Amino acid sequence: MLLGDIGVGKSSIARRLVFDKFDTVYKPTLGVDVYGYELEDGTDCSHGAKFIIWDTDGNFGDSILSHVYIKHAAGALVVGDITRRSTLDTMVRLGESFLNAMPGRYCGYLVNKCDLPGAQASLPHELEHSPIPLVKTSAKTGENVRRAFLGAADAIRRRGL
Amino acid sequence: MQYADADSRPDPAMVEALLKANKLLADRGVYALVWLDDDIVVRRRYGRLVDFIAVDAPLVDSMLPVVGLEEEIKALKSSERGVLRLPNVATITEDGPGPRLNLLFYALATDTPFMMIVAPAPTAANLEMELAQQVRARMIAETELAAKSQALARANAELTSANANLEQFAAIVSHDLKAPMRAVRYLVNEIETAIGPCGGNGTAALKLQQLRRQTGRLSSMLSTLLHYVTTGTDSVETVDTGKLMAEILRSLPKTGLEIELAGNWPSVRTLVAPLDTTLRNLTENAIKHHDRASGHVVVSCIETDDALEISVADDGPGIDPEHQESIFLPFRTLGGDGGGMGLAIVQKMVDAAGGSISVDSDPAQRRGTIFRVKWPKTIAL
Repeated sequence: MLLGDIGVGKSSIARRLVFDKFDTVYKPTLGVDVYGYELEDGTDCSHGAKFIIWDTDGNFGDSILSHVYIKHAAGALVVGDITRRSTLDTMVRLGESFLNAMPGRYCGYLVNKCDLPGAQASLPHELEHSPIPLVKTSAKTGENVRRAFLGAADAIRRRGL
Repeated sequence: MQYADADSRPDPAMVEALLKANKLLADRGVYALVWLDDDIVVRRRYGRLVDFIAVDAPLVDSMLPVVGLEEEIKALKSSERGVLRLPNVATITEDGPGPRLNLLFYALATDTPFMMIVAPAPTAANLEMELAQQVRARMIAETELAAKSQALARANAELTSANANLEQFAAIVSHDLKAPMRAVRYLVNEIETAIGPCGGNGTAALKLQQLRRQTGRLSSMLSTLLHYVTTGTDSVETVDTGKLMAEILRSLPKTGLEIELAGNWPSVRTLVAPLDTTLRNLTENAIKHHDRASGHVVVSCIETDDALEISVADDGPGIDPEHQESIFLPFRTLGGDGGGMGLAIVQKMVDAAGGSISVDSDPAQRRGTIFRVKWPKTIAL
């Protein structure tokens, strides 16, 4: 499940992972877009994994947590835009709310758009010191996108989710 | 619904009409139906919206959004509400997004215990979404614009600071190098005196002469560099531009060139020294770079509401278009004995006043060059 404010790059992250593409034209997600992706056994994924990625509309806000979409999610990757502080605050809120609503599930933070000027901005204290694992990504360059999903797959497998 | 006959059995004509209506709606893609067995395997389907769903295969094989929801669907049998809604879902493939659908699952009391109703997202909602999409796209664009403006402002501030540092560095270097350079020139004089006019075999005297010329040139470059980095910060005063121009012309060396003062030269409150330098350098350049013993230079001024439009036109050799940008850079000269700083200083003075300068010359077509300066009457400090 990809969660996060509007315009933080959730769809771009999904598209980068699944199709290895990046679209510079912004197209907001309305409702939910579903992607399928299989990590093959071997190379960088020792066990292989099949993802059904639910890319959610940022407009859902906190209401996404009570939606049926999320009920069976093995994990959530919460995305924020490093150049927009408010989206990072939303990340913290959504990440904590997800774990409260779905205890035991996997949750990871993706701080996206690290290729942009201003990407050196410091992260909120709550984000930097959170127990939730954080990865800085760029959907545009592909930096760390695959790594983030591999990490999620490993954690989900370990927890038997 | 009320049935027409007494024993509440449906009127066959009404049933037929309803079936026709439903078929019409299914054919037009208003809705579709899929029947599922206990294992959520598709047993039947109806309506073109679900043509892509394979019969006698698990529903998840055809519908990615249902993956992981099989148990939720099975639980409908024991659920009081008996319905599971998955609104506004689209499957994205490399070919693009599939249709955006509303999915509703019902539990039935038949041999196909579950039914999925499929409908496209309502048109009105689509319009609202389109509007929301545009509003959100605009919001994102505004946010990104604000971020970029901030980055640009930061870059400008850094550039301004870098320029100031560079000018300070140039001022220090040019100032501090003048003293040792002066010492070198004195030493050249002393050596010349010591060895006499025919010192050595004459070669030494020749080399000393070349050394004197080069050190003289270097001193001149240091002076102009120092002038370049330290001017342009004068205060604003009222100046009679006509008198100023007349004084400049009086101070210039006499040549065979005829210099004409034209137009209207008013009194303005402006940066006096920068205006003096601009007019002087442009006029000097016109004279210095003229390639004939006689010629004509016209220095004119037109007063507009907000600026003085000054031009210096000569009938000299002209400036090739390929050099017309580089002549405003420091230490660039197209010949002559200048240090190459004259027009760089003019550019800086004009910039300091908030004005603009352009050059008009096309030697391939005609002789002559016109420098046009727009000097604002109001100086922003």
